[in-house]
Amino acid sequence: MSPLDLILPVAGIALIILVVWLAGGLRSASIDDAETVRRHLALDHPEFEPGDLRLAADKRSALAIDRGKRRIAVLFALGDRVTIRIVVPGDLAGAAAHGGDLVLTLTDLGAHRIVLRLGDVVAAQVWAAQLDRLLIQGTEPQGGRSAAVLVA
Amino acid sequence: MTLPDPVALAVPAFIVLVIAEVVIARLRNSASYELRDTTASLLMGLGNFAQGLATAGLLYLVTAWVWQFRLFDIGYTWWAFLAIFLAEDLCYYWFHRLSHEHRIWWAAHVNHHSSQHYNLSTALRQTWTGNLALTWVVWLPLALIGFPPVLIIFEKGVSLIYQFWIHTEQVRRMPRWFEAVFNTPSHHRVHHATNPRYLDRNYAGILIIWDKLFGTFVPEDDAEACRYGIVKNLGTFNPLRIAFHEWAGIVHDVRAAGNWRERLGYVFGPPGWKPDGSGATSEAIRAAWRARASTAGVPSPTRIL
Repeated sequence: MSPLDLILPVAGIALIILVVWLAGGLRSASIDDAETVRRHLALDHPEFEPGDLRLAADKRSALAIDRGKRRIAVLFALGDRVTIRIVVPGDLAGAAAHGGDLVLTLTDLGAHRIVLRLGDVVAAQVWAAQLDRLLIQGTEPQGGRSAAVLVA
Repeated sequence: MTLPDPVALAVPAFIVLVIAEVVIARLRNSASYELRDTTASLLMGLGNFAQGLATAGLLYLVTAWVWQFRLFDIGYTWWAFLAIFLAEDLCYYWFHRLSHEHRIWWAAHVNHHSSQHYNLSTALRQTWTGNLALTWVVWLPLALIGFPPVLIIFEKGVSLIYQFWIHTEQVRRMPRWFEAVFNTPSHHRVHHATNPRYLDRNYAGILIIWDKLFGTFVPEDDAEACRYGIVKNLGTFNPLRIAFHEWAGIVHDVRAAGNWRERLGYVFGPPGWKPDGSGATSEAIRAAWRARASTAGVPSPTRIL
């Protein structure tokens, strides 16, 4: 094996990354409104019935509670794509409020820590407590009704 | 006999073609490339290249050891190249199908499907753990039949090169006769899609005939655009997490399992398997899709908080 066999792939990767960047490849998806959330859920998880729903202030994530089952949908921007995680009991290791951020820690290494920038300290605390009761302790009735009352 | 390493020879073509596709996609205003996604795919390719260097010698030795017990002396005759083309492609089909149907091999293969984009850089998003997961055993019967190890390795390289160009949205359809026999961008888009109708279909390497023969072929429907990625899409561009997240998931599930049936199910069962039958396996997703198709749902209102 010649040094060129190693140098060429590395140089090629650098060149491709440069070209993609020059072509405007650094993009971010936006979750602007409830309709965007519903549209994405209807495509990927049509069985999910969004009840209570919260959009992040930075429009890069959102949260919805299923009105029929004990689970939530977390939507977040990953590059220029919107990614959805359906979180059921056992998937959520922790839900905590840090200022106006809601920080979800999942047991899955593929999406281990999801930060929802709610921009609202009270809402972050309420949602953290709600998700803790719903998915970790299992004491919350499904459908997210109490979250609606608390946030309202 | 020595044969060239087709993959090493193809690297400059890979680079040129990826750049050409980036430019074409830009001209067509197609959001086919995203910087962090592409970078992750290319780093996965680099890691695959490195692990290939580290394990190639050992794999060759194992294949050569099996070859000692060969049933026939096939050698390098003209028909040997034709026969290895067919035989290797059949092995690839089964390797690929098993990699989707059993979680232990899916853990090694999932990274290739983890991008929500579908372009030539996705082709390079290759496994770091396939050799450790012993996926190469599928090709050992070729050595036992009598194909020389060098010929087997050469043909695996040819297959890998062929499969590079089919990772694109820039080619819609090839001529009908070509679509009927060969794996094409259209057939392989289906394979990378998570739409229930497309999920876990079209496992072919070079020849699509295997899918038609074994009942796993689904044509691309222009009325239903492919949605790329995996059932549980990743929330990261970190190559280490891309490479190892499913292995970590297996360890997590096995540790939480209550008995040996559950442990074996989590390792060797289909991806998404759960002991109580509630898991989102491909078949369960497809069954739910079929059930939904036969009943019309009524949307309910959503409150925004």
